[in-house]
Amino acid sequence: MSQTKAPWTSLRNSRNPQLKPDGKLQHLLTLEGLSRKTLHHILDTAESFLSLNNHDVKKVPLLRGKSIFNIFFENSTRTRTTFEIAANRLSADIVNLNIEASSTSKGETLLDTVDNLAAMHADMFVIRHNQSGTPYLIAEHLNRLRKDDIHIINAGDGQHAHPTQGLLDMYTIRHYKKDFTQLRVAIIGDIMHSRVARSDIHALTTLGVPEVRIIGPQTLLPSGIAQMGAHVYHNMNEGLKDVDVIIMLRLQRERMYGALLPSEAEYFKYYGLTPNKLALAAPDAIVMHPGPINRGVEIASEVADGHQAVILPQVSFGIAVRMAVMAILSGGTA
Amino acid sequence: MSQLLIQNARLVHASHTDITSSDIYIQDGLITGINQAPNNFYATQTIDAKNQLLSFALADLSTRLQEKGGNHRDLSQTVLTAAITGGVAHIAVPPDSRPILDEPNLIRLLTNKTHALNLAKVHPIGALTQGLKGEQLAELATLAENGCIAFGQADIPIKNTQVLQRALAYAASFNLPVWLRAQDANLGNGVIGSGAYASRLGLPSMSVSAETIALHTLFELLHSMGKDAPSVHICRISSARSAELIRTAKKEKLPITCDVNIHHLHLIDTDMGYFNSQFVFNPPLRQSTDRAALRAAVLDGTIDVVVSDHVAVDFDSKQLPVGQSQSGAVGVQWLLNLLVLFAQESRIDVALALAPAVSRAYAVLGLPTPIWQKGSLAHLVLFDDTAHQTLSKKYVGEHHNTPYLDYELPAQVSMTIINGRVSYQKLT
Repeated sequence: MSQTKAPWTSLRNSRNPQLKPDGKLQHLLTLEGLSRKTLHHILDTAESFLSLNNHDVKKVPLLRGKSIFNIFFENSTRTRTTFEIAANRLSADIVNLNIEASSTSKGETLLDTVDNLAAMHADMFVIRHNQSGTPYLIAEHLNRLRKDDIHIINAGDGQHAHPTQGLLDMYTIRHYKKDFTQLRVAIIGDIMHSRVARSDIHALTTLGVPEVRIIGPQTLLPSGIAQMGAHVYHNMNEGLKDVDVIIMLRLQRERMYGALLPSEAEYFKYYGLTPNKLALAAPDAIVMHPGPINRGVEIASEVADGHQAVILPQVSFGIAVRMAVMAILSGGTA
Repeated sequence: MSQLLIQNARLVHASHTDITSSDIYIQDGLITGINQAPNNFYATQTIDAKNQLLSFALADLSTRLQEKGGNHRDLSQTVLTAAITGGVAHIAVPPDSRPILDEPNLIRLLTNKTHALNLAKVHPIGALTQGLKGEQLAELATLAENGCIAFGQADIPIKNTQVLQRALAYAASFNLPVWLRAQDANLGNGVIGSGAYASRLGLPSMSVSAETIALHTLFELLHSMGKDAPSVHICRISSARSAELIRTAKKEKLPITCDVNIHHLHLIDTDMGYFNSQFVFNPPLRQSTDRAALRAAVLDGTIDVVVSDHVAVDFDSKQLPVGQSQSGAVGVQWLLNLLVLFAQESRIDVALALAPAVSRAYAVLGLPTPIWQKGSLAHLVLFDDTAHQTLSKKYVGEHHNTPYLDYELPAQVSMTIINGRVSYQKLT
C-alpha cells in the first residue's frame, strides 16, 4: 500500500504543540522530541543560574513583572516549592493554587478554570495533574483562543511526563559524569506508573547514553517499553552490573493492592538498593532519587545517606533547572 | 402513486460493480423493472444518474440515537436524518440509552416515534439483562414481541459467566439472536490499545487479551451448547488475534457472525498523536498489524459487517484529559464514504467494500438479501465515488466528535431512496 498514514493524521498530529514554528520552545510539556542541542541549552542556562546560590542576593530581575501561576490539581509540596523558589529568584510574581478536586466538584470544568486564570493575565502556568496529557489539552485550548503569550510548564501529568524532573536528573548526571556518551544508566522500580522514568528515558537516549537499563518486576514495567530504547532487566543483580548511574524510583504504597506486588518486604529484598547491591555497580556510580524517598522500601538508609548518593544536590539543581526553563520560555535568555 | 425512474446508473452488486449503466423502474416502494419499463409506467420523477453508482442502501448495526455525556438528549431526528444523508436505510440501536432498553414500553415508544419520522428504519437491540447489570435476565421473549431484533449488553460486559451461559440458553429457547461485545470485565479498561505508544503516553490501555479471553469464554459456552446454541453476533472486534480466533470458530461451524467499527479499518493507536480525545474508542485503537488483519478479515468474510458505531458526544465530554473523555465518534453519515476510502486504499471494487454494510449487514438483521431484480425493496443510495467532500464543522453540525473533522473524504451521496421515495437529495 502506497499510503502508510491516513491523510488527516499526518496533518493534524504532526505539529508538536510545545514548539513554535521557528523551533523554539513555546511550552515545556515533554522531553520527547527535544533536540540534544535544546537539552544542553537548558542545562547550560541552569548552570549559569546555579552560581547565584553562592551570592548574597540570590535574585535576578529577568522575569520582573511576570505572573506565574502554580496550578496543582494533584498534591505536591516539593515540586511546587521548587517552582515557587525558582520564580522568586527570577523576580516573577508567583501565585499558588491548590485546586485538586475543589473547582471540579463545584461543577467548573478544567478548561473553565484555565479560562479564569488566563483572564487574570497570567504569563505562565505550571501545571500538575493526575491525568496524562492534561497540559496538552490546556495548551491546545489556549492555542485555540489565540492566547499564545501564555507558556505552560508541565510539572507532572499522570504517568506521561515530568520534564523538569527529567532535566534536573540530566543536570545531575552531567554535573557528576560530564560525558553522557560513555554511560550505563539504570532506572529501577515502578516504571509503569512513573512519569519521571519516561522523561528520563527520552532525555538519556537523546543525550547519547548508549545503555539505558530499566529494572523491575514485570508487573511494574509497561508493555513495549523496550521500544523507547531501554534494556529490560527483572533481576537487579544483573541489571546493576557496572552501571555508572542509578536512578531509584519511589514506590507508592498502593502498589501493594491490585496484585502488582505481594509486600514491601519482598520488594525491598529483590528491588531495594542496599550496599551489597550497590557494590555491583561501577565503584564511582552515583545514586539518584526524585524524592520523597521510602527508606527500607526502595532504598536502604545506608545508601540514601551514603557518599554515592546525590539525592540532595538533585534538589538544589532542580531550582536552577526550573529557573532556566522559566527564563527560556519567557524569552529571557537567548 | 409515485413512479420513479433512475436512468444511466451503474449498479453496485454484492461482489462487483457494473461497467455499463442501467435504468431502474420503481413503483410502490418496489423495483418493478430493470432496463425495461413495466406496463403502464409513467415516471412521476426521472433522475439522470450518469457517472454515478446505485447501491442498495446501507444498514448500520450500531447507531445511538441519544447524546452520550451531557444531558443524554434525544437526537432521533438528527441522527436518522444524518443516516439518510449518508445512504443508510436501517440502523440497529444498542440498548445502553437512558433509560436502558429493557422494557417493552420503551421499545414500542422508540419504534413508534422513529417510524413516524419516516427516515431510516430503527431496529432496537434489547438489553440482555435488566439494566445491563449482568445479573437478572431481561424479558427477552416479550421484548422480542415488541420489536427487539436481538439482545445484547452494548459496551457493558457480563462479569458472571454463569449469567452469560443462562442468557445464551434462554435466548436460544426463543430463537433470539444475541449480540455481544467480547470484553473481559477486569481487563477491559483503557482508552488506547496496549503497546509501545500507550506506554509512551502513559495512558490506561487495554490489552488484546481483554478481547480474546472473552471470545474464548463465549466460544466454549457455544461449543458446550452444541446445536442448542443461539446465533451470536460478536460486535466490534479490534485485534488481529481476535480475527484469527473468529476465523477458526467459523471453520468449526459455531453459529457466529462478527462486525468491526469502520474506524478500526482506518485508524491506529499512534493517530492519537498528542492526546487527541477524538481518537478514543471502545474497543480502543490498536497497532497497524491489527488494522491490516482486520482489513483482511473483512475482505475474506471472517468479519461479516462493518459498522459506524455512531455516538454523538457532547462537546464538554471530549474536552477532558484523554483518560477521562467519553469514547466514540459520530459517523453514520460517512459510513459509505469511509467504506469507499477503504476500497480505494485496498484497491478493490467499491462493491466489495460496501457489501459488509449492505448485503452482509442485511443478513445479520434478518432482512431479505438485496438483489437487483423485480420485486426487491427500493431502499437505494445513489452516489458519486469520484467526488470528495470536506467535513467542515458547519457541515458536520453540533456534534462534531469525529477524528475526520476538516478533512476530505471520498464519495458523495446525491440521493437516498427509502421505500421507493426520495428521502434525501443533495442540493446542487
